Amino acid sequence: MVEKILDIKNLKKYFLLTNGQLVKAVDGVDLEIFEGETLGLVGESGSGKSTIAYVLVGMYEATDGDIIYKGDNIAKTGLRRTLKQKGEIQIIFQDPGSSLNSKRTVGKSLMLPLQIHHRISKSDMEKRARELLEWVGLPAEFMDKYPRTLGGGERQLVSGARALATNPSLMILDEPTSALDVSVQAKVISRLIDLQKELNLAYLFITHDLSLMRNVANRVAILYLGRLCEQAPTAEFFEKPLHPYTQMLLSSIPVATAEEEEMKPVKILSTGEIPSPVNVPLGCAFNTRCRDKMPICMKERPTMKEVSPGHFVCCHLFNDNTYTRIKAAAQAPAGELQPKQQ
Amino acid sequence: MDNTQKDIILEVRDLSVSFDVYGSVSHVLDGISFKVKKRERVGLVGESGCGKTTTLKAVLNVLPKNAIVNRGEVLFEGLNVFKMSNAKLATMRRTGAGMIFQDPSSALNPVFNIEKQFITALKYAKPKNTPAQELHEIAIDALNSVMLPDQERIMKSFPLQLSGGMKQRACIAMTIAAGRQLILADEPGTSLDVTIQDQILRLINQLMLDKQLSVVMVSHSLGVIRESTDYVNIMYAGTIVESGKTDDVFHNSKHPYTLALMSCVPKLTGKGISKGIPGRMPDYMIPPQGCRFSPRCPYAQEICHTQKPPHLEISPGHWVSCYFAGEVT
Repeated sequence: MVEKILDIKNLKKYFLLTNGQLVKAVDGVDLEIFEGETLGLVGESGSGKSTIAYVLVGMYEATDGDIIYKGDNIAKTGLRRTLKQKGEIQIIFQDPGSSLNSKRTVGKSLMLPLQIHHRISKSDMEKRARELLEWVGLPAEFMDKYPRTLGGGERQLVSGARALATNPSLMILDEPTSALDVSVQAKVISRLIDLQKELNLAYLFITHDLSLMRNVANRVAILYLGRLCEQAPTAEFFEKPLHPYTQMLLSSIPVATAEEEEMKPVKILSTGEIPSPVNVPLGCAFNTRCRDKMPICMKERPTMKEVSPGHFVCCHLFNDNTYTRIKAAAQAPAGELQPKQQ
Repeated sequence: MDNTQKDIILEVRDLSVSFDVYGSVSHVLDGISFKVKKRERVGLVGESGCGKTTTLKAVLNVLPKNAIVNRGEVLFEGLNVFKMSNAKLATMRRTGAGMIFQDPSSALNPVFNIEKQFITALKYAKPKNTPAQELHEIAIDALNSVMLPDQERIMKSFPLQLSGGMKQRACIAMTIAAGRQLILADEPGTSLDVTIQDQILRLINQLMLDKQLSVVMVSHSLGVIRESTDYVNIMYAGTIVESGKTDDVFHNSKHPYTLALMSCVPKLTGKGISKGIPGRMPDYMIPPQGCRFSPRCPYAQEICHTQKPPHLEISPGHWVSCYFAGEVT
């Protein structure tokens, strides 16, 4: 039995702007993360992916909702968490250029968390730091280098080593490779996947790159304007996307082979842009861009429905048990489905 | 000969550019050659630092001051841009070839509204003494053709009031309004979300068909290039390693670098991720003597390290710079 290590229930994080407006960055998100698995979190910019990550590591306190981590509710503790809780959840940031201190050598960056969390002798710290570098596949001479002399991929691996210093069980990867080239990305990702197996880590993998997600995640969750649209095991998610937004997203990905082209759902031309999180549309947040919208979508917010084991969709089309959407898709003539507007 | 020559809007021949960096010389571009025909979409694809943007800058002759063009020429409609008079060059930049930049937020001036920037740009592109009213109408038309609704409001907006996708559309409108024939698109969708990127790429394709434009599309994303070009050049460390029709290059790749790059791209089919390409991009100060990919190439032989490989045509229109092209799979 795989143990559930993190349970997020109805998480909300609102920000109050100076002009009195309320930004609902995360608005009622439910997620679970199990030991040793990778949960992929996908969304456009402004959908609240990073806000969730920052609430989890304690950089923000949640406005409402629960985050149960190994039995403790840490939603509103923020930075007042115990040292152990802080060490258990670690993060790798998107930009390796600014997340490493440019004035510290790699060795010093790696030894700081060791000093705070483990209280071991200096020689032990150095030994442990070398071991951490070895884990991420970097040579020991990196200890005396400064971040500016390293390439982007190497810096990101150093960030990874630093996060591992506290022996975490959950690692949050906030777009770890979106600043890197594909050949470097492949190196970093394959190293991270190996580490996960060796250390039995759970990953919350945040990215906007769905092709990458297909290859790293066990389960995928799609976020749109601070709300979850769909959540499913990876293979099922890519074979049977149900939410209209997921379908639009998948058909927008530029792919490099003809084989992948066939995997995409019927070409759904993307329309419109993500609305501002200050003015989230009434009802379903996606109703401004949805090609299947119905009158109810403008009024009532849909709820999460489990359509098959582990596959959740938040859409009015799945309100009754007959799954109108699937039926309609099966009957629709082949060929391009044109958008209603533009 | 005349006919084919007339059909070519841009030709880059054996272009080599180096940079003077505090006294030492960095040899970036090494013998870049490609052609862009009218109504053709040509792609340049490669990793960061491989010289894609330098190539585009050379086309517009806007290389930084420390750049040295060692040899080669860039012919725009048959004229060498490095030998043009300043007046000719200005005309070419205003009405001949235009660039769409990666980041629309920094391409627009934040302290002027769209109208001010648009009309200023148009003033130089259109004949002198064109009435202001006419310029305004041209601008509105252009905004309409990039599918921006409510053009009058957009004209009065400042860049920070528009979203990323709208800013990029406005930039494209400015580029095409001057009646330019050649669009140099430098990663036009990279800083945007995937659904917005899809819209922008479709828009560029549509404009190319409607207005009979030629497009040079630069990107690091193989997917973008495959879906929006007819002809592609794969670049590595300042050289073109493989070029040909997009379908040929993507489905029948021959160069070891192209093959390695393809295997690094995460696939939707979910067959896992390769281990990446070993090693790093060479140092441009001391580039490898032979093939620039040879230090990282798993198939490299003695000759690859010492002599530059020839550009071989392995099938009609499909060129590969490798001694062992065809033997590698």
